[in-house]
Amino acid sequence: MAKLLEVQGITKKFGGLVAINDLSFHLEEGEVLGLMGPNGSGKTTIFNIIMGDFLPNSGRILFKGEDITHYPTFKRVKMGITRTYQVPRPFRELPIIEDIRISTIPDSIMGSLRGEGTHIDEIKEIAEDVGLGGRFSKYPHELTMGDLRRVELAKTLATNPKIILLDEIFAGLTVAEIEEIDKLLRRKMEEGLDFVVVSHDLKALAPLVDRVVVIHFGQFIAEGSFDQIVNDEKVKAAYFG
Amino acid sequence: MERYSKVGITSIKLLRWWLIGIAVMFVLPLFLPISVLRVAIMASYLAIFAMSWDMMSGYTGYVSFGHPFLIGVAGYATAMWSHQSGFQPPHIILPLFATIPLAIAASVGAGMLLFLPSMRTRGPYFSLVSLAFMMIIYRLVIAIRPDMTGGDRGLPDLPPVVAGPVPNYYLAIGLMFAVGIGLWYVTRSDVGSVLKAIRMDEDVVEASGISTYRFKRFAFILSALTAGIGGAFYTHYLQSISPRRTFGAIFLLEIIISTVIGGMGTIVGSIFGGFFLTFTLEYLRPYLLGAWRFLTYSLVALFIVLYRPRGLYGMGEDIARWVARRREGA
Amino acid sequence: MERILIFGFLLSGLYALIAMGFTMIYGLGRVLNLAHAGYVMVAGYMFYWALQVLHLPMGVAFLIAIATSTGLALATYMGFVRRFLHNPTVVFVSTFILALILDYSMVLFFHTENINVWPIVRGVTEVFGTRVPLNLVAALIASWACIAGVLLFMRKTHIGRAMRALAIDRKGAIISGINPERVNLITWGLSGALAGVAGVFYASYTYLVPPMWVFPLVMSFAIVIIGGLGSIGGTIIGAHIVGLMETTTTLAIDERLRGVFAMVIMIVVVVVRPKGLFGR
Repeated sequence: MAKLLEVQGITKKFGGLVAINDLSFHLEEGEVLGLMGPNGSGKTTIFNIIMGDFLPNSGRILFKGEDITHYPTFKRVKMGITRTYQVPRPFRELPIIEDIRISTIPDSIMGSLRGEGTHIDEIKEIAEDVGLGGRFSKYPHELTMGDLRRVELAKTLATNPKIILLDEIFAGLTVAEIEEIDKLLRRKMEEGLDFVVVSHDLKALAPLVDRVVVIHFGQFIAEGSFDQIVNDEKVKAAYFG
Repeated sequence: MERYSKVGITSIKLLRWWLIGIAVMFVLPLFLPISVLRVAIMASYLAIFAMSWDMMSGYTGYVSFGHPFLIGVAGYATAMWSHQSGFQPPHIILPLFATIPLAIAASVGAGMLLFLPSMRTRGPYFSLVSLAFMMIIYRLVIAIRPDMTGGDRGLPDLPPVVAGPVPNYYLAIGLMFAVGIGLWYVTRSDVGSVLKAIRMDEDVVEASGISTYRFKRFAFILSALTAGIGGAFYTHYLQSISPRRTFGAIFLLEIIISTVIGGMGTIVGSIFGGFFLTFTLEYLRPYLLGAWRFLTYSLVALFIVLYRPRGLYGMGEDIARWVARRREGA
Repeated sequence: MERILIFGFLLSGLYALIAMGFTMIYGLGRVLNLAHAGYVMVAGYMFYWALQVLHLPMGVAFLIAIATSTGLALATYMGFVRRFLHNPTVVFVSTFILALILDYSMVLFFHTENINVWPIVRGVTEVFGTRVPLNLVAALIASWACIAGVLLFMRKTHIGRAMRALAIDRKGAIISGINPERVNLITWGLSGALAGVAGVFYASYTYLVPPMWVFPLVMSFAIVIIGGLGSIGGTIIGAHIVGLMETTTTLAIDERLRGVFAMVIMIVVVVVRPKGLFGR
């Protein structure tokens, strides 16, 4: 299987703090990768580096074999990598249908002036698809956490991605909401999307992932199937001390 | 499927308002005395400056406290090249159809200079830097080569573009509507949507696959371009330029307050704000002494910034919506 | 040369005092209070009014000035900043407008002529061979006393440590039981008081005129940006850099270029190293 996304030897320091320490892992085409680790182990940081919010001190990020380590964020998104945020970041002043539409506006001045973005009907379809029907004109402060997560997903889907990095997509959801998001993700997986999923909710994570990478203090600890790593000694030590 | 329509009035209807506005302004000279026309000319130029400020500060959220820097660069460029003393070397005076485009190009260049720090900083840092630009050029114009810039007196006796109040009135409102419709069209398009989103959360816009650099640069260029147009023509209307009037705090305040009262992030609101401010300043002059007027405007502006950010434009929208609802009910 | 160094040093202390309150507010809530320099101005006017119009004793005038500036700062916070802490642009624009309101209010009450304030300490002295007004020396002593006071406060007292904790990690501090509202009030009040002291000395160093707040405001910006927003130590160092540059420009280069070099350095810092020397 081809390696879609590769993290090679990434190290990131913030002042004196080593957030990521020589971390390497990869995502293969057609698989869902789980990224686990205790609080503060660097999961969000590595997502930020993959997306280009920070530059690493050393190491490379490869996407479909191309070295994207120094590419600006928007370029990576256009190539097909997107992410959701641990705490949803909707545009406060926009109704969610407009919010999703922003993701479909072309990256060009002339194109935007001519209105070459996606037609509103297609955007409504995306919103319906993630389960936001009947709430198109609502503002973020009027929505439940479950719906806000759906908006995040809709925004990523609107960019036609190849990979979505999901940062704690299940956090703050009711059991029912988790089930619905799970069904949605599975449907997308069948449609060919690949994910890297970060989650504390092991029950939600387990059925979704093909493989898991565990990190702690920004370092690689273990890798394997869900059952394998759950029984791994090093992983248990990291979580339980 | 749920029916959804964008809130607010559709573009076609608003175009109708533009045409009505142009028609009304066009025929006013037939009814109004020259003195009123003169005030209207000043108001038109203030409206142009306010709209160009709104383009940058109201939309991208990069609030600039240095807009007079852009305006002044254009004003001084056209003044220096068209003035008696000329520009040394070479010692030539250029005609206006040459100096004005040069001035506008200069202000676009100045806008790019201002854009540079915006790439590295945001929010209040950027605002401070823009203020610094304005203060620096204020000092430089006075201290460096006062033989060219006129020092702290400035440059008087500049040639006008057209002579007489009525031709200048048509020139002023012509420019105002040209700038207004142009900026309005841009901000109504997806470019405006992106810019507003940038103001709300720049990182998320970048994460949506849009180069915020590209869009911000466009906004800055447009803002500088329109500021330059206003600055160059205004300088020739006043037929003089001076550092205190151009780079002093009062001018900056008039621009900001016009936009704020009219409604930031609306473009059209700036026209309302500019006219409102100019006319009330003029006609309240005998009734309210200097500081009271500015104090009142500042209080009004404060109230609007905090509680009614859509300003006069927002009030206009609310009224229009109310009228539409009543018509539907009837 | 000595004149430049000595006057520069004296001025820097005063600048540090003015910029101190400014940086404290930013360090705490990431908001810029542009009305801060306005408080400095109002304190100066109040001191003049109490001392030279009402003929109250100097100590009382001092207290009135500081009380006014502290009151204004608290009123600003409780009046509207508190409600808009999540929206720094609104705070920025509205405090700027507030500074204007204070400016125009001073014009209404005191008109636009320059007013000379009696020096707090009269006389001249010699420092390393240069004649220096004692008032300026007093300003320096007062400035350093306040700065030392603030530093001690931040290090030793419970509230001071709470302020630092909130500045470093807001959520963590709140979870530890620190009451953010109380700390906010104290910080704002303190910054107002510092502005008051600065205002009294600044007014007697220069003269009173309503637009007088603009230059100290801009200098404060340059100072805190160069030194690093949120860092008290950075403010002190930044104040000295700016103060010395300012004095060099006015005494040695060209009076009309006042402030230009500070501005240029500020722009360079913002572009090259936005955090400044010690900022967060």
